Amino acid sequence: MHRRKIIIYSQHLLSAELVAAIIGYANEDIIQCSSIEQTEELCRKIDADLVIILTSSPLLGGRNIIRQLRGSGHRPEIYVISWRHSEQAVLSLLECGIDQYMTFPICMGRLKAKATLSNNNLTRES
Amino acid sequence: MIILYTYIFIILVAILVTVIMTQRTQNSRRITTDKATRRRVFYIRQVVNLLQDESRIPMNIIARTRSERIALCEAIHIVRSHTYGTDSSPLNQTIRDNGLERLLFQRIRYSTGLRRAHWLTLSSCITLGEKSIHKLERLSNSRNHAIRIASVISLIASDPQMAIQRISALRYRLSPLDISRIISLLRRGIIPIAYEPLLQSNNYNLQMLGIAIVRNFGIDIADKRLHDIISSCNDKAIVREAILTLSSLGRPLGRAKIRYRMSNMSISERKSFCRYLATEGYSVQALRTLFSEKEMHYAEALIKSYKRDLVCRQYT
Amino acid sequence: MQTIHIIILSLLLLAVGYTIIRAIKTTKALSMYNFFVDNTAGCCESLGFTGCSVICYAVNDIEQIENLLHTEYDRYEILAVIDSRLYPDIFYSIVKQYGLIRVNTIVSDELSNTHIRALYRSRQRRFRRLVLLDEAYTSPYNSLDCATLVASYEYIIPLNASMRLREHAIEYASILISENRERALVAIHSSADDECYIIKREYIISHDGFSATLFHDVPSTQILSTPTPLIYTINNEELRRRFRNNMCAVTFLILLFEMIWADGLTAVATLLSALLIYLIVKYYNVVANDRFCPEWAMLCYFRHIRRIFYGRKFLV
Repeated sequence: MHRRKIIIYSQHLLSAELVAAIIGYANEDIIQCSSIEQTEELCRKIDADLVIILTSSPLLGGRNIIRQLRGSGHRPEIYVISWRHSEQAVLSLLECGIDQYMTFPICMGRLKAKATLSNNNLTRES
Repeated sequence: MIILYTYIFIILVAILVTVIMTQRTQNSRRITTDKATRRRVFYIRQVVNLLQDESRIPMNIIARTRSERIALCEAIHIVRSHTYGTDSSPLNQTIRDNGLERLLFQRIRYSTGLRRAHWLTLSSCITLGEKSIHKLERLSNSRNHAIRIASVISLIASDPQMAIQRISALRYRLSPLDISRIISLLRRGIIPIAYEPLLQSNNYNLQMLGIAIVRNFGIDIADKRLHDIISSCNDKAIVREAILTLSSLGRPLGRAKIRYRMSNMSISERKSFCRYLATEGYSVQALRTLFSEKEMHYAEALIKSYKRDLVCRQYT
Repeated sequence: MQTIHIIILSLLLLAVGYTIIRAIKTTKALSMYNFFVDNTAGCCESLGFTGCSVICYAVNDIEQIENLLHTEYDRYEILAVIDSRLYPDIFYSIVKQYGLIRVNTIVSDELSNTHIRALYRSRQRRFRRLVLLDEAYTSPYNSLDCATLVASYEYIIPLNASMRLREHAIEYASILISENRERALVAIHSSADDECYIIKREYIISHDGFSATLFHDVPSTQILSTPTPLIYTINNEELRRRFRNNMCAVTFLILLFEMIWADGLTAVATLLSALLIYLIVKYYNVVANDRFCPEWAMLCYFRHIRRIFYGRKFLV
C-alpha cells in the first residue's frame, strides 16, 4: 500500500502528536511543523498528499495559504481541525478551498477512516 | 541599620543572580522541558493505541516513576479532552495499575491556587472512587473560583447521572466560561443532558445551561420554550440571554412578549441589541416591529452599511 | 543626618517592595492567563455574547492586520482607520489583499466631528471581521471616534500602529468582561506591558468621544485593573534603550546627592537597591519566559505618582 506523506501543522506539539497517533505512524509518513512557513516549504519539497492544519487562524489572516500549499502543481488534500463550531467559521473555511473541516473534540474512528478513505482513493487513482 | 540593610540586600542580590543564571541555563538547554514533552508524547501514543486497539487483548501502559505517572495523567487528559465517542473503559485498568487517582489527589492536597486547579482539571479525565468524589465535593465550595469550577467539572465528569443535581445545588451563579466548560463535556458525550427540563427549571444555573445548549447546538425547535422564558422569567440576565439566543438562531422576533421586554430595556441596551441584530443579518423589515421610528433610522443606517447601493437614487 | 537616612531607606524599601509585588502579581497573572487558554480551549466562543471591537489607527503595516485577524474568537472585529489621501499605498494594499469593497457609510449623530469618507468591507466571508475606514485625518482621537461609530460590539480596544495582540488576548479579555458583567465597569485596564484599555462603547459615546480626559471623572472602582499582559509593542528597542539610559542617569544623580549630603554607606545601599530592582525585572523576564515585557512595565511608579496628581489620562 502506498505510504502517504502527511504534514500536520500545529502550534501545540501535543495536539499534533495526538492527531498523528490517531492516523497511525505505521502506514503513513507523518511530519509535524510548528510554523506555517515551514509547512508551505515542506509541502513544496516533498509533494505532500495530505496537510492537516490544527487551527483556523492562518486561513483567516489574509495569507493565501491554500494557494501556497497547492502552488507547485501538486494538489494535496487539506483538512482543518479546530475548536470553532460556529456556522460562519465553518462556511468561511470551506470557502477557502479546504477539503474537510472537523471540529474538536474529534472522533478517532472518523478521523482515521477519512485518512484511510483518502489513501484508498489515491491508490485507486494511481 | 544601614549596614544591616546593606547586608540583607547583598544576600538578596546573590540569591537572585544565582536563580536567574540557573533559569537561563535551563531555558537555553531546555533539557527539563524536552524530557517532559517527550514523556507526554510517548504516553499519548500509547493511550491512543490502547483506545484504538480492536484486538481485545488487554494492553498495559506502565509508568514507573512519579514524573512518568504525571506525564501519563496529562496524556490521558489531552486525549480525552480532544476526542469523543471512544470507549474509555480500557483506560480504567491503566489508571488503577499506575495509581493515578491517588497521585492526583496527593498533588491536589499539597498544592494551592492555580496548581490545584490544574490537577483538578486532570482528574476530570479519569474515573474516580467514592472517597475522591467526597474530597471534590468539599473543594467545590472553595473561595478560589478556578478551584471551585475545576472540582465541579470533575464531579460532573465522574458522576454524570448526578450532573443536574450538582449544578442546581451550587450556591453561586455560573459564569459564561463555566457554562462553556460544561458544554465542552457535553460535546465529548460525557453527560447526557436534555435541554427541555433545564429550560423549564426555576434554577438560574440550569436555565442558563439550557439556553447555552440551545445556542451551541443550534436547536431551532426550542424557540417556543425560549419565548416562554422571555414572557415569564423575572431575571433580567436570563431574559437577555434568551432573546439573544433566539436572534442567534435567526428566529423571528416580532412577538408581543419580546417587544414588551425590550420596552423595559435602557436606550443603550436597545442600541446594543440593534447592533447585534444587524451583525446577525436581520433585515430592516424584521426590526421595524421592535424599534421606534427614531431608532429605526439608526438601525437602517447600520444594516445598510453591510451593503452597497448599486443604483443611484434620484431625488425629486 | 539621621532623618535623611530614614527617608532614603524608606524610599528605597518602598521602591524595592513595589517592584517585588509587581513582579509577583504579573507572574501570577500570566500563569492564570496560560492556565485559562490551555485548559479552556474551545470554551471561548462568544462568552455570554461578549464582543470586542479592536480599533487600530494610523495602520502602517499590513502585518498588523494579519496579527489581529489571527484571533479565533467569533464576536470580534477589527476596525482599521487610515486616511487614503495621506497613505494611499497601505490603504490600497489592504483593499486588494482582503478583497474589500466600498459599502454604504453609517450616518449617525452619536458623535460629532467625525469625518468618515468611506467604509469598506470584504466580499469574502473569512474576512467579514475586518472593516476599513477611510477617514479625513485630523487627530488620533478623531480616528478613534470614527471607528467607534462604526463598531458593532460593546467593548472597544484602541491600538496604535506599533501594538500587537498577544495570542488568545481577546479570549482572555472576553473572559474578564463576562466575569465582571454585574459590576458597573467603564473600562478594563491592562497595566502589564503597555497602556492597554478595553473601554465600554456606551461610555465613550456618553463622553462625546475619545480624549485625554476620557477617564478624568471615573472613580477607580469602575475601572478594573489587571496585571495580565494583553498586548505587546514592536519596534520599541529605541524606547527601551532610552529608558535604560534615563534610569542609569537618575540612579547616578541620586548617588551623587547621597555622596554629598548623606554618606557612602547610603550610596552603597542605593546602588544595591537599583541592582536588586534590575534583577527582579530580569527574574520576571526569565522565569515567566515573557520576552515581550519591557522593563518600564515593572517600574511604573512614576506613572502611578503622576496619576495621583494629574488623574488618569488616556494618551495616544
